[in-house]
Amino acid sequence: MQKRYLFALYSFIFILLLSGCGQEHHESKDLAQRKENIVEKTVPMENGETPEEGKVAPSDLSGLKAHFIDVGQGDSTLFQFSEGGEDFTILIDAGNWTGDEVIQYLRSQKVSQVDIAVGTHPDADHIGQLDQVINSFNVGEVWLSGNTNPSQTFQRLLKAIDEKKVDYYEPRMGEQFDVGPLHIDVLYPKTISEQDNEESISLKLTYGDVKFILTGDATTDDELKMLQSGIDVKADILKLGHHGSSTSTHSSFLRAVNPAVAIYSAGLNNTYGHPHEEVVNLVQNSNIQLYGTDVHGTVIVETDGKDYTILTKKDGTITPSSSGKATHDEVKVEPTPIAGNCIDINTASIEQLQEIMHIGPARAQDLINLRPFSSVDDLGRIKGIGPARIADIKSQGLACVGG
Amino acid sequence: MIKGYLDRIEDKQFAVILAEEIKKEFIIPVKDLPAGSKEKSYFEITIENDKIISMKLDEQTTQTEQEKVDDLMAKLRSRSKGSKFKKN
Repeated sequence: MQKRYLFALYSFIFILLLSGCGQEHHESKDLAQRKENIVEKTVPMENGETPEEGKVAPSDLSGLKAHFIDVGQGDSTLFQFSEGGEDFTILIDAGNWTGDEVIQYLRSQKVSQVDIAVGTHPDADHIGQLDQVINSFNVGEVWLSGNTNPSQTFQRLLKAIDEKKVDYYEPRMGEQFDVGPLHIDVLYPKTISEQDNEESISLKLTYGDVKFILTGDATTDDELKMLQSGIDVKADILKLGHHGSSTSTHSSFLRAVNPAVAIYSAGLNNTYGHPHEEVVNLVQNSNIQLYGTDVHGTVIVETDGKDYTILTKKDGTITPSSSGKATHDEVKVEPTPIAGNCIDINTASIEQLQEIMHIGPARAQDLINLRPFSSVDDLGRIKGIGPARIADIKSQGLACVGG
Repeated sequence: MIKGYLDRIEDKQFAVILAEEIKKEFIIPVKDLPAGSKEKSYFEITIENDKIISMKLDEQTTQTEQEKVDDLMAKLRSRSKGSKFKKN
């Protein structure tokens, strides 16, 4: 009963905060717009701040780690989780064919077996080290789209699957899988045409209440087809398609996924100009936190199925590239740099504070009660804000101390 | 002379050529590809000072390598038992 009362109280405060938003006409349109966006989101889901009643988050899940591995200009994502003492490992893509970063990373994480290794499509920057993975680890099954190419790299992969007698499967749109506590929905492809290299295996992975979407190099057309399929694509964390290239991340798709966090994998100063300026601007203007392996190194999302934390190897702020070598015909979204909009934690309003990562309504109130703060690090005095969250807040680059 | 392979064209501008025998990758403008080139084609290439200085389409190799892949894929598909994680 007390819980219900508390919930009502929080709801009341929440509604008060919402109604307060519209009255501050003096704020810049951009800030007001971004505020609207954050109010619509219910993540990060912090204890005591979950605004939906009756949504029982599973409490028995142990931690899941999603590693967006820094493999230079390539792609590789590792999911690790366990249930009842049984460990599960899923690898989605395996870097570029010239390297061995994936093997080294899996070893550093003490991986011994991989339950599912997915090659989203046969390009050498995605399936590059998958043959080495199969030859070095105990791989249960390999999923490929079924599209092929005659490169030696792809042939080495097929031979490894054959020689190691690994199970082989081609997943299709609408299929569902349960890997221990992790649920997988296949978003794409429905069929393959061999002509289209971008028919990447695209997956939604659900762990408790936390959802991830990864789409390989799927194009904006493919993304629209995923939307047309009617599958719910809403997710907390979106891996941006095609290394943040403007050939992916259609604005309608991004709106439908409505993630709190977007992550891309790209090599520093790559020839292709990935991530492209339009995508960086689109994501940042949608008030989505953006991480990239070129700037942050390996990015790890840790979740218990309710809340999640982002850990990065390096700090950094992604700024839209002005020297992108690619040329673009599309209409450009006006960049709105975050710099200059820094939120002074000692003077900001309760609504403004909630634009800062990990600060929901309750923590914003705590923050105000604990003022003044001598530095962003000093936010550690707030209950529930530890070093990892402070690192996140710093890499978001919004919070500052005025004076 | 070694084999080059056009793995992909990125963003309609950059042709990614794999020289798999020497484990090197070359990125060249699409306009510098020989006429008739398309993704998944093999070439005879000559490299000097870490640059491709000549390339010629090798349709025969493209065809024979693709046939090897088709055979291997058919083999894998024929013994595929599905996924043990699939939800009924």
